[in-house]
Amino acid sequence: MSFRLRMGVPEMEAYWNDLAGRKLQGRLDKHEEKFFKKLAKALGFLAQNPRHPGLASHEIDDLTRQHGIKIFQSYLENNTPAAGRLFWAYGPEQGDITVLAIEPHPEDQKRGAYQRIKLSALPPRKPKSQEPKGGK
Amino acid sequence: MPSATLKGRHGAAGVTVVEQYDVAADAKKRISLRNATTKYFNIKALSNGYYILEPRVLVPLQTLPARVRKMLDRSVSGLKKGLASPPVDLTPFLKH
Repeated sequence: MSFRLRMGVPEMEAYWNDLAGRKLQGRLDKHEEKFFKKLAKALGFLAQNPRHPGLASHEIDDLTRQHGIKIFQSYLENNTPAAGRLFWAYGPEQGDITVLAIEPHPEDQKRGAYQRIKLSALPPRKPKSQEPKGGK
Repeated sequence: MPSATLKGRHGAAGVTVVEQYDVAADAKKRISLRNATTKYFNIKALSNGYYILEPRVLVPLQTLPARVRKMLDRSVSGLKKGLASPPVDLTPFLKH
């Protein structure tokens, strides 16, 4: 099943329109060109199959809890989290996928500067509280 | 042959064995961790057949840059109202 891709309003739509428009006019710079290529490829996969292995799509529980709708994350490049990531959700209509946000953010010039790790080491354990023993 | 017992990256001081058991991998070479305290692990497969499992946690939401979070929040509030852009045509940008 293929999905209709939509962009979140207003920022994501404006960003896509700007980027796609400039791509068609051949006015993207080297970095933007490279980024757009990855983005278009990832969006293509997303439209064909959101569970495409190259996207490594997975639900972000924290965001789902926070917003009350299932929010997923996909990577723009396989095995390279630093390449960027897409946040998306199903809807608004059946058969639709809406791209909600993209990282790196278009306005951020520090591309690649974020700490984009998926997992981190466990936080240090809290010491167990001293409970009296044998007190049933 | 050197010992295959590996110390933790930050030293093994204070680490004790709390459980020890033998397991057999199933037909799909899967084993179960009993009483696992975390959902995620970083796994290193060593050349000598050993596996090291390091517990991991998902990076908290705060590591999403503020601008991305803001963009996400706005898009979600639009989506909840049924607002999204018209369908995007990717055909000019995809190689076939």
